[in-house]
Amino acid sequence: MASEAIISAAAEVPAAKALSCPSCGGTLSLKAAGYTVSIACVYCGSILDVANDDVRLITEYHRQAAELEIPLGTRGRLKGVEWEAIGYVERSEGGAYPWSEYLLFNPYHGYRWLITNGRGWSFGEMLTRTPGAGHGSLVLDGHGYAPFFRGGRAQVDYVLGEFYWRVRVGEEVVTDDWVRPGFMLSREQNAQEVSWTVSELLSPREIRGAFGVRPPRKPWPPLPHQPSPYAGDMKKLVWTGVGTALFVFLLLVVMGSGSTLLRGNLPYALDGTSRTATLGPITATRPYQAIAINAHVPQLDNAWVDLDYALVDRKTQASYEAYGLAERYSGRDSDGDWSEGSRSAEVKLAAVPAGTYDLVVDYSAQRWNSGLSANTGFVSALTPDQREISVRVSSGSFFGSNALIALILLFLPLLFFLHRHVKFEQARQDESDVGRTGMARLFTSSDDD
Amino acid sequence: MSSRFFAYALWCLAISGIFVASGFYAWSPFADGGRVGPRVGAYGPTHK
Repeated sequence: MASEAIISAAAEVPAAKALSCPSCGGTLSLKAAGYTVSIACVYCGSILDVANDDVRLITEYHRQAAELEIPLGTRGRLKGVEWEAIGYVERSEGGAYPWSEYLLFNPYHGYRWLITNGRGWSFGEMLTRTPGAGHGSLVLDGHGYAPFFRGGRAQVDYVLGEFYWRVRVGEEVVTDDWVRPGFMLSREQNAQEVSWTVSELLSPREIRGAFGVRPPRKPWPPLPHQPSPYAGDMKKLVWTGVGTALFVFLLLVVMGSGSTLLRGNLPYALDGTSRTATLGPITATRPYQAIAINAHVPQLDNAWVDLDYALVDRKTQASYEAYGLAERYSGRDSDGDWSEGSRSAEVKLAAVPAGTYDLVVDYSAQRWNSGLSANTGFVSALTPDQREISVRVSSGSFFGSNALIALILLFLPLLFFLHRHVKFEQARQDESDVGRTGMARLFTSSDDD
Repeated sequence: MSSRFFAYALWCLAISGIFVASGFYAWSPFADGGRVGPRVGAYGPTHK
C-alpha cells in the first residue's frame, strides 16, 4: 500500500533529510523523508516518531546498535533496481525461530523486504490485492501456493532504521504462510489489518552480487520455499533414460537373434550310453557373432539328455564349448498332475569369430526313474531309431543379459536422483505445520514416523 | 542444461556405446560358453 502511494507520487521523489535524536543527540539521516513514519536511532536504538516536523520520542533505549550483515544505507541492485537498506527488524515466534527483515527503499519503486533466517535470503513485496482460493491452496497470478505454516505468532524483537509505520518492539501479528517452489506467500494479521507479502527466494549469487552477503550454499534442512534441485531436471532425465532404454531394446529385438546356420537331428536312446555326433559345416561370416545352439527333444518325459557342445574351427581347431541339459519330469501326486523342466535347451556361445566350424556333440540320455516309466508309455513305445534330438544352430549379436545390465545401469542414477529428491522434500516438509504431502508422503516408511 | 542432466546424458551415451560394442564383439559376461584352449586331437574333416 505504501509502495503504491509512492509509485503514484513518483514525480515527487523524496529527498534525504537530517534530524537529531532527542535521546542521544546523534544525527540521523531520513532516506525516505515524507514516507517514513518512525525511525529507530542507529546509535542508541530509541524509536522516534518522524511523521511530523517535530520529532517525538516513542520509546527510549540506551543500547549499542547491532552490527548488521547489511549495514543500513547500503545500496544494492536486485531484479534490475537499485535498493537502499533503510530499516532492520528482528522477529521471532516468542523468541524461537528468529529471522531478520531488511526494509529496502527506492524512491521510484517503493518498499521491498529482504528476509533471512540465516539459511537463505528472500526478496519480498507487499501485495495490494488478496490471493484467490484454490483447492486447499491459494492462487496468485495463476500459481497455486500450498499451505506450509499455520497460525504462527510473530513478534518484533529489535528494530533499527526507518519504517513506514509506527514500529515498536513487542508488536505481534498472527502469521500464515503458503509456498510454491521458489516463492512464499505470507499473511500477517493483527486487530487492525491484514497484509499479504509474496517473497521470492534469491540465489546465493543474486544476494552476493547485490549486497555482498554470502549465504550457505546448501542449507539443511531446506527452506520452506526452496525448490528441490532434482525436481527441475527429473522430467528431462527420465525421458533421456527411457529413450536410451528403447534404443537398447530395439537393438536387442532387431539384432539379438540372427539367421539359422544349421539344422540337424541326433538319434538317441534312454540307456545312458554316451554318443558323439558331428554337425557341420557351420559358416560364420561376421567378424564376431554369438552362436546359439538350441536342442529340442520332443518325446522327452521323466528323462534327461546331457549335451556337451564343442564348436571347432576347421582351420585353427580353436574350440568354443558349452554344456546343455534338456530335462522333463511329470507325474501325479495328492495335488494332481505336475510337470517341470523343459524339452528344449539353449546355450549361447560368445564372441565366435568368422570361420567354418563343426559342431561336435557328446550326448547321453537317461531315464529318471524306472518306477515312473508307466507314465512315459509314449517314450517307451518308441524304438531308439525313432527318438531324435533336433538341433538348430543360429547366429546373433546381442545378448539379453547385456540388455538387462544396460537397463539396470541406465535407471540406477534415476533411482538415486529420485531418492535424493524424496529425502529433500521430506526434510523440507518436515518443517511444515501441515506435514508431508505428495511424493514425500508416498515414500514415508514407518521408521520415518 | 544443468550439469546433472549433462552428466546423465553422458552416462546414457556411455552405456549405450558399451552395449553396441558388446553387440559388435558378440560378447557377454553371462554367455553359456566361450573359447577354451585347443583341443587334443582334431575334430571334423581336416582332409579329403
